[in-house]
This record gives sequence, C-alpha cells and structure tokens, in this order.
Amino acid sequence: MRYRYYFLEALLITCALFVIGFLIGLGIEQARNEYLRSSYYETEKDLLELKEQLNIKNLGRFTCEELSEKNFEIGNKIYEQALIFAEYESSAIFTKSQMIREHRKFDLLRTSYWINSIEIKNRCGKKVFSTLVYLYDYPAETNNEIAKQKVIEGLTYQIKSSAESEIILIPIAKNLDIPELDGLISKYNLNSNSVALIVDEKDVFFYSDISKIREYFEIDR
Amino acid sequence: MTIELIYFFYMFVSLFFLILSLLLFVHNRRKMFHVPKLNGKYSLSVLIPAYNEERTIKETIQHVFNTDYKNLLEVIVINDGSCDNTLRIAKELQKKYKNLIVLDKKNSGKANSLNYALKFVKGDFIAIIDADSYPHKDAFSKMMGFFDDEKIGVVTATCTPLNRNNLLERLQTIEYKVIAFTRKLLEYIDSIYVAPGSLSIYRKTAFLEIGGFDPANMTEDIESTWHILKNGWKVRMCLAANVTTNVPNKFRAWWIQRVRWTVGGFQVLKKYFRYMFKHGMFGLFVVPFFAFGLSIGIIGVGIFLYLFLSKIIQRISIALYKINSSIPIIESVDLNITPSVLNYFGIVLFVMFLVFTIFVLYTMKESLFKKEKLWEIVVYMTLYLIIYPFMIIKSVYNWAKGGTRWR
Repeated sequence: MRYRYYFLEALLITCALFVIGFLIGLGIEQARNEYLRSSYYETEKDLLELKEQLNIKNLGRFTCEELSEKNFEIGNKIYEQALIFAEYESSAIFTKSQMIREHRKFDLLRTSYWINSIEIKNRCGKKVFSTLVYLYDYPAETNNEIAKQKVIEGLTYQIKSSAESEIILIPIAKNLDIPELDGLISKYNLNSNSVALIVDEKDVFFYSDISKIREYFEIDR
Repeated sequence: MTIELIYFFYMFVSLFFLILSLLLFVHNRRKMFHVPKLNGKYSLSVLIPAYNEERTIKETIQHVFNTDYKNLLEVIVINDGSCDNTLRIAKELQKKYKNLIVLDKKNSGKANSLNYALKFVKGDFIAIIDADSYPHKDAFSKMMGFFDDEKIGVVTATCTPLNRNNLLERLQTIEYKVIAFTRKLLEYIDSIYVAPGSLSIYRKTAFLEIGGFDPANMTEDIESTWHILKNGWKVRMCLAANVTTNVPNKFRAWWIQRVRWTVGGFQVLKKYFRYMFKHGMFGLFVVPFFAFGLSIGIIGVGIFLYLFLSKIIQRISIALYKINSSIPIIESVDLNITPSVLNYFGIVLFVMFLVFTIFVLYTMKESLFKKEKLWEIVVYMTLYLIIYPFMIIKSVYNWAKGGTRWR
C-alpha cells in the first residue's frame, strides 16, 4: 500500500530526530558532568596542596592564618559545588546512575576535607574557624525524609548566609560506605537519624533539635 | 527512569504525528485547496434537521438558497418537535422558496430526523447542514466536483466559527482551522474519520447502503463516516469550500458539547473495534488511531495526575515541615533550577507545534478573515488543549453511566 511510505518516512524522520535529540541531551548532561568533574579535580588539587602545606616537613613555613584562609576557600568551593551537584543531579536523565556513582566520589572528597579541617584546628590549637558538618542519607526515600532534609538544608543555608566568614559548611552523605567517614561519625551515635549536624566535632544536633540549633547559632525566626 | 521513558514515549508519539502531518503536506501541498472541475449534473437535496433553532434557521435556509449550485433540487427542513418558533419561521419561508419542504415530527433526535427525511429525498446527493450553520455561496459547487470519482461516498467542507467575539470563540476558531487543515491531510491517506454535520454531502447510494444514521449514537456524523469507510467508500475534504457555524460562547456549553462528542467517539469505537486492522486504511489507521488517541489520553491524564499529586503532596509536606521549623518556604537557592533534557525536549516540541499551528493558520488565511493574535495561539496550545484529557476522563465517566442524550 502506497500510504505505508508516509508512515515509514515519518517513523524514520522521528527516529532520526529523536536520536539527534538524545545525543544533544547526552551532550548537555556530559558537559554538566564535565564541569563538575573539573571542579572536583580543582578542589582535589587545592586540598592536596593544603595537605602538603600541613605536612610535617613544612611545619612553620605556613601560618595558621594562611592555612585556615586556604581551608576556608576550599570549604566554600565544596559547598558551592554541592549546591550545583544537587541541581545537576536532580535534572539528570541519561547520566543519573553516573551521577549516583559520582556522588560517592564527592563525599569522599568532602570527608577528606573534613579530616583536614580537624587537623588544622588541632594544629593551630585555637578556634580558627567553625565546621558545620551536615550528614544526611542519600538518596532520601520517603516524603518525610525528603522534607526533613529540606528543612535542615534550609537551616544550614541560613546559618551559612548569616556567618559566611566564620562557618565552613560540609554536606556529606553518611550512608555510602565511606570507611573514613564511618570511623569519624561512629562516636556520635547517629543511629537511625536520617539527618544530623555536627558542630566542631563536639555538638551533635538532630532534626528534633531545631530550636536548639537556632539558639546555638543565634538565628532569628 | 520509568517515568522518563513514559515522557519520551509521549514525546515520540507527538513528534511522529507532527512529522507525518508535515510530510503529508509537503507531498500534497499543491493539492490542498484544489477544487475538481464539475463535470456531471448532480441533483442535490439539502437536509436541515432543526430543534429549537428559531435564532438561526432563517439565515441557514437563506444561505442554502443563495448558493450558486445549479442543480439544487430541494431543501428539506425537519422540525424535530421544536418548542420554539422554528417551525413557523421555516413555513413562512416556504412562501419565498418554492422548493423548500418543511417536515414536522415529534422530537426523537437528529439521526432519526435525518432518517425520516430520507424517504422524501429526490436528489442523487444529500447535503446535511446543521440548522445553525451557513454555507458560503460557492460551497456546494466546489464540493460536488469530487463526486466525479465514483468511489467517493462523502465530501465535507471547512467549517469555521461565525461568532468570534470572546476568547473561547476565538480559541475555537483556531481549533476549527487546525482541524480543517489536518482533516485535509488525512484525506491523503484515506483516513478522514468524520464528515461533520455542519456541512457534508453524501452520495445517496452510499447513504442508503449504510442504512442512514445510527440513532443510538451521540455523534451520528462520526458513526456514518466510519460506516461509509468500512464499506469501502472514500471520504474527501474540500478545504476551499466553507461553512460558518455558531459555536458555544460559554465554557459550560462548550464543555457539554465536547463531552458529548467524546462519548460519541467511545460509542463509535466500541461499535467498530472489531474492524481493527481490517477494511484497508479504515482498520489500519482510523480505528487504531482513534483507540490509541483515547487510550494515551486517558493513561496520560492518569500519569499526570499521579505525578502532579505526588509532587503536590511532597511540596506540601516540605512546606509544612518548613513552617513548623520557621524556615522560609522558598530560599533563593531553591530558585536555581537547572532544566533537565526532558524540559528542553518539551520546549522544542512545543515550539514545533506552535510553528505548525501558526503555519496552518497562515495557510488557511486566504479563505478566512481574521488574523489570530500570537498570544491566543499560545493560550490555545496550553490552557485550551490541556482541558481535553480531563474532558476524556469526564466522558469515560458519562459513558460508564450510560452516556448522555443528544438533546
């Protein structure tokens, strides 16, 4: 039947346009991932440099002020990176599984950064800066968990905005089997709490402690 | 990923039909407004079923008699038990027009009225015109030439709204033009699925062969077209022939009319479903296209409602948690939204359909008067068309309840 050529032609063109669309879509997502990857490597490089500066052989060559300034810079980058990552991840279609794998890589970097921050604080022996580690479960499964995470994210965003130059905010997924992180948080007895905030490795807050968090950071309602 | 796959499927289907329409146009662009030369002297009887049409019946009759078709044999008005002055007005006009016949009967619906009038028809061709529709002067003469081909059972015309004052009427104007254009495109694959009651001309032999209209169906015009297609006749669309009609000017009336059409569509589909993949393009395209269109409409609404409601529930839950914790519901960080590839696909598809609609209206302008404003086209493509899936749901409900009466 002669009509079938119309349908075949339409099908072929639709398939071709769809393939082009897929390739462009994949390209867009890959470009976003590439941006994240390069930002990751840049942060990793900065962190390695900072670690080198902290190395025993460089003892005395860098002041605490220099170290904490550098650390702060990296911390801000990590936080910004986390915001961009969350955005890109929520919009990923073709590279969703890749993003989930990448998430762990970023969490490893953030854990490493947290360890470094602890070391600087120990080395300098005084409160050069505050670390606020936001621990959460990834991915959040239920609406309640999502809502709780959103509340704590909003709160940490407020805290960070109100004390940008004093607090380093480090968001880390705590359920991705990162041995270093598991070791660090084992003493806090987080149990089944899906979200937790650890301030300067001393004070631990959970979702139920929102008013305490507000008081602690003197956040207005 | 399942949800994304569903989105891609819907986008693929939409794109396929858009491309198919474009291809049909490209391959047949020179024939779109073609009017075949009239060779035969075909006698034509015009049937006008009327129920409470006192506002429009006079003008309809006058328009019919003002047409330039030479072999107009008779005009038969069938008063379907009107409670108003329809009968009196029609009878008064008999003094002016000698070959105007007025039949009066008890109210039994449009299909029954037309079947009743069939007994009185003398012409070899039967034009059916709604009592609120006005054929243009050259409408019949442009349409009749198609009947030189003996396989043609029905010819229909471009129907556009007469009243274009409020937004709803103007949106229907866009819709009617797009429908007329795409109906012409469907002609090129022998798949015109409806010869609307506003103006269609039937070959009497074809009409008698199908036994007239099915009174049990709420959209007798769709049913008769399907019946004619199933019997191997062809349907043609004369894009150059025009008829204007009165369209609903209030949302409620429009909604009721469309629900009736959709329920009629269900009835027809149920009746002819067994011819799926049989009887040429009728079973290969018309029936599956209709079934597929209604199915994906219903499934689409289901999926949309599920996603929309779950998103709303999630948003409300987050908002409540935030309110309880005195956190702003929206932070500036929440406003940084990176569009997904699906969003880009959707935008591209929307723009393609928008361009297609504008192109259709541009192509149709020589036979139509007003230019549509771009924003009206955007409203048509967003708000107006979005109502359709919900209408399908309502129609399913009505159908399950046992349908609605025609009048």
